[in-house]
Amino acid sequence: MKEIVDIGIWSLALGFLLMIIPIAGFIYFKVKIVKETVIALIRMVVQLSLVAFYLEYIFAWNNAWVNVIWVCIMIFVGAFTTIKRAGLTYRFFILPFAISGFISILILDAFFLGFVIHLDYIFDARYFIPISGMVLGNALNHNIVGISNYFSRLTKEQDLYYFLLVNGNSRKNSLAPFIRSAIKSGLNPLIATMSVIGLISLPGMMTGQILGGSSPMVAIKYQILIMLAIFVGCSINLMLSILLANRFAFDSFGRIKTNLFKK
Amino acid sequence: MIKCEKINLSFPRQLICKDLSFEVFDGESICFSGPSGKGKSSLLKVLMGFITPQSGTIQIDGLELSSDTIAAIRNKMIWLPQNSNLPVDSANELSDLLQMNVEQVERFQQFQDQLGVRECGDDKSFAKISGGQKQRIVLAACLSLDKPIILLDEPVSALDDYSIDLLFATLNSLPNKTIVSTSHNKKWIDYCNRTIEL
Repeated sequence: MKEIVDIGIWSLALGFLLMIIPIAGFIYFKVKIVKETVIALIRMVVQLSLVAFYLEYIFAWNNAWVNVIWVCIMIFVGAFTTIKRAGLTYRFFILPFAISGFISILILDAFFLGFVIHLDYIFDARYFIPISGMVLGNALNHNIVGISNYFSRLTKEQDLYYFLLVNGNSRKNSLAPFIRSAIKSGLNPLIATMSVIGLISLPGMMTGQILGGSSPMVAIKYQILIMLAIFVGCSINLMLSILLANRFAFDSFGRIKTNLFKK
Repeated sequence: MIKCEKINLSFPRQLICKDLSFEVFDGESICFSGPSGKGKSSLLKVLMGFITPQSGTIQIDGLELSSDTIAAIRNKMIWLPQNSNLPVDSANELSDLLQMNVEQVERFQQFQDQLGVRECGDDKSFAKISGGQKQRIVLAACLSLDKPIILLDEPVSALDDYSIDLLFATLNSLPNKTIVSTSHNKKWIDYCNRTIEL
């Protein structure tokens, strides 16, 4: 196995030079996202540096409790981010979204790490943390799209919901078209990604493994498993998030609560 | 029977009704009338439990409107929203959304015949038909559900005289339905047994 070429700090800094091109473009077209881009870049560097620092220790300890706490923190951060990006209020949604994240990770890690990869130690930090992270990271993006679609449609097309609530048979049936649309909008991008993977995109994990010295065959097998895990994880997370959020989003008359969105 | 007692309903800077009491007997039709923006539609929403008045009681077929009874009460009703401005694109989609059974789909087609909109077709996009035609198709879908209480919000606002006559004939063919509606159309007001002016 070849030794991986490390990237020097100055080489890394050189990579940032390329950012001049998009930022120049933003300035030329007067797109007001320069500040957000710079902040996002700084956050990325700080967060990843901290993660690298933490992971060094976490991998060295490889303690089940520490690893589980780390994943739980990721679940909560994911739930907070979904709520923030979808413009919803924390008090109604933090619990349902965190529970959905927790259940989806529980199912996936138990199934893929325990039954498929047959790890002796399921909480092994080298598998448990990156795989949970990959699933949660992807679930976050698709959850934001699906959840935003669900609540914005329910609010904009309130008349349809109320029409179905009176004329239809039940609240479950009245919500069905909105749930279908949210699941479709949330998962469609993932289906599109899956269908072109390897053709027009080489996924990050696979590229990382190959760069790290793994054979492409091993990398591809991991990639297939991780794509399956991501798809299943995103689906479970989104469907559960909607179902659990429904318990908090309506009052006892089935009316959509007026304070779901942050003002 | 619908029985409302001392309903007080107001929105910020708008009084809709004060101590409003009325009864609607089985088979009777009443109309809330008055200028636009007076809260006629809001009163229908009160009956469906979508708006809670500040005070007052509502009884429908002996059930007092509350969170415990709301499902049973809504089960007795159909509601035609104002202008039928629903994000639905065809008669077929409407019957799918309402999860109609075979019998209801047959009745839906019969009512479309009676209301003169059968030629609009099951698959034809609502974007290609007029607002009045869409409203009649939505009404046909509601009527096919065969519930005893019919709530109609501005049912004739987009209809010409001929279509209004078809609507009267259709409603007259339904025995023992209780109709609560909103309108400021003279012809419709004359058709109803009673009018409550807001």
